[in-house]
This record gives sequence, structure tokens and C-alpha cells, in this order.
Amino acid sequence: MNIFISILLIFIGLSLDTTVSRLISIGYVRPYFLFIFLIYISMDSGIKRGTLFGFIGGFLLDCFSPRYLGAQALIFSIVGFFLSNIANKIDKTKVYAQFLVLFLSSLFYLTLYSLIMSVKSFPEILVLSIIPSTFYTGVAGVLVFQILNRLCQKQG
Amino acid sequence: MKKSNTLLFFILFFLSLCFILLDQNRKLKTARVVSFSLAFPINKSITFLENIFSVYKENQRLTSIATKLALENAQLYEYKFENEQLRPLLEFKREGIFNLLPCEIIGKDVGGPIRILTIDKGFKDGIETGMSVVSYQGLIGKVIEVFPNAASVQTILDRGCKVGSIVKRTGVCGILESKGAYDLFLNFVPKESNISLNDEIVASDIGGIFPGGLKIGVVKEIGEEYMGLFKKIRVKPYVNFPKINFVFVVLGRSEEKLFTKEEKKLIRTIEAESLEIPPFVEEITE
Repeated sequence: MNIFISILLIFIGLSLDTTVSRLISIGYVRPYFLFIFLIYISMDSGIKRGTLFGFIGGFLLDCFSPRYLGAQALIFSIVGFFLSNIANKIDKTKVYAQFLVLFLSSLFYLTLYSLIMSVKSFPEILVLSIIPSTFYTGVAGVLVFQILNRLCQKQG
Repeated sequence: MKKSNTLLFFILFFLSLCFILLDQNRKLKTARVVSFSLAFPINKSITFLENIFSVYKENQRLTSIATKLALENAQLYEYKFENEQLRPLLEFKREGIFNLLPCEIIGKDVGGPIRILTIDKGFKDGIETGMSVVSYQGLIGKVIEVFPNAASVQTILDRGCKVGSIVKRTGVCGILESKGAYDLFLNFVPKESNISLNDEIVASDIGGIFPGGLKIGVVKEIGEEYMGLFKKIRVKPYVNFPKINFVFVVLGRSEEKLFTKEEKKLIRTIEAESLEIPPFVEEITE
């Protein structure tokens, strides 16, 4: 994937997170678009770009919600690094594989972020927000992946 | 796996950790101001895009609120008139009206309850740390950090935010605080206090941070502490935090003044558009 397309995807993800995501949210449950795009970049562009874009994307989100600057940069870097490492072992064309990757990654992201924020209220947040949001992100992510795959195929 | 890739990962990992640790000690203030200033134009333009999507719906909602408020205002104007006459008799001190600064929300917490908000006004607009933030739905929180063009607001859902509160129906006092999740808890309310489900909780003037009487939420669950002296009261906040886009910062009180000619004209226009105009409106506004 072209580096400019990766940068463009980050900005599209950021825009969707602050616009569409709020409109289609159900209470505290919403999909995380920037995270979906970062997973796509990590699985498509190799370890170096996956880790670096993870860090940059996370840091950008930290700037928008400035609580513990660096928390999301840290989580996104970890996700970017590990996903780009195992990308070759995953069949990215299969919907169930896409859903599983999105589900597990967003579960890791939201769980770790919520634990950094507040350990005491974690069980309640896990049930009311994290698990439903993880499902929502998984489903929305599969749709986004299908669109991106088709666009990349056309480009190729 | 290449060594350079692993090295890059560890560099970024420790850089992020440094950010988190330094941020806690507030030594990274300058970096945060810089990142805020850099992100501000992007943030503002994204919020602008979002507002284009919601402007029609918001306009309809505001028109309906404006009509209701015009009627309420007409009624309050009569009470004000009575109050003006009775106040000197009781020798009460006159309190000023609140100066509100409208702000747009340009950033929210992710993953769970919204504990921190970022607004698009900062110290250049007169915002200071500790000022309270409200919306038409009720109390939002208080300003905790101020930048030149932006400010961070700690919402009442954050564990560190404590609000002196009163049960509106009975006047029972307590301290409202969050445990970091979605509901609030009214603490230090004695077991024998008269509180029932759906009682409204409002902010108290005590403490001087939040404007007294501002609605906060409604009692959702009442229990008792095991072996304790107090009740366990769960409160559901009125404010729908994920959906709010605009808030007001309370800049302080100013001298109360009568309506200007333009304001009177505007009120009269709105009132004329509504159907249920109380009979005294015409007399008062004249």
C-alpha cells in the first residue's frame, strides 16, 4: 500500500471517528474507525509502517482526548507491531478471520485503555461499553475491510 | 523478524511510556500545549464537518426549546417584577445573573464513560481553571486545564469530581461523586433521610464551584451500607454525554440588568409565534 494512501486512511479514520461514529453510536457503544484503518494498514504494509502508523494514529487520538498523553499511542504501537508480525499467517480475505482480528484487537485496545483510566469501575465498563463496542467495531470493520479490499484490487 | 523493526517498536513503546509517566507529573505541559495547538485546526475543521451533518436537526430542536423558553421567560418576567418589589422589603442582597460562554466540544474520552472533554475556548476567551461547565440538560463538570485556544473539562463522571448536591424534594444534602462508571453516587446521606426513587438531584451552592439549583440527575436506586450510617444512592445523570456537542462555561456573575430594546423585540417576536401566550405577556413586555 502506498504511504500516501496510508496517511489518507488515517485522516479518514480520524474524521469518521469524530463525525459518523458519534452519529451512529448507541449510548456509549460505538465503532472505532481509526483503529479499524490502523489494523488494515498493519496487516497490509509490513512491520515498520504498522508500528509507526500505530504510534502516530494513537498519538493523534491522544491529542483529541488528552487524558494520559501517550496511552493510545502505546496501545496502537503494540497492536500495529504484533498484527503486522502475524499478518502473513492470517487469511485476510476470509470474513471470519477479519472479524476475529478486529474483535480481539479492539478488545485488547479498549480493555487496556479502560484499565489505564480506572481499574475500580472496569467490570461495569467491560459489560456496558467494551464488549458491545468490540462487536460493533468488528462488524463495522469487516464492512470497511471489504470496501478497502475491493478498492485495492481495482488499483492493483 | 528484523532487528531494526524490533528496535523501532521498543523505541516507540518507551516513548509512549515516557509520555504517560511525565503527563501524570504535569511536566509535559509544554508538549501538550504544542500538540493541542497543532491538532486544533484539524479538530476544529472536523467538528465543523460534523456540525454540517447535524445543523438541520439541531435547528429544529433549538427552535422548539426557544419557544418553550419564551413562554417560561414571560412567566419568570412576572415573578421578577414581583421579586423586584418584595426584595427591598425583606432587605435581601441582589445576586447577579450568570455570564455564559458558549463552547463547542472538540474532543472526548474514548472507551467507556466520558470523563474528560476538550472545548474550543481557552484562556484567551477568559476561561480559568475551576470554572463550572453546564449544558441545557444539566451540570457537565468543571474546567481543569486551560490552553490558549482550548480547555479540558473534567465531567461529573470522573472519579475526582465531587459535587455538593441537594435532593430537590426534601432538601437533604450529600456529596455526589462517580466511581468511574456511568452512574453517580450520592454519599453521606443519613439512613433516616427521606429520599425516594425518581427524586431529582440538583447542585448545591455550598463549595462555591457549581451554580446552585442546577439539575444533575435522578435517583435510580436506593440501598443501605452494610453496618454503615449512610444510604447508598445511585443517581442517573440527566446529561447524555456521548451526544452533547455544545456546552457553556460559567464565567461568573454580572450585574443584573433589564432587557435591552433588541432583546425585548426578540422575545416579543418569539412569543407572537407561539400559540399559548399568557395574557400578561403583552402588558409586561410593553
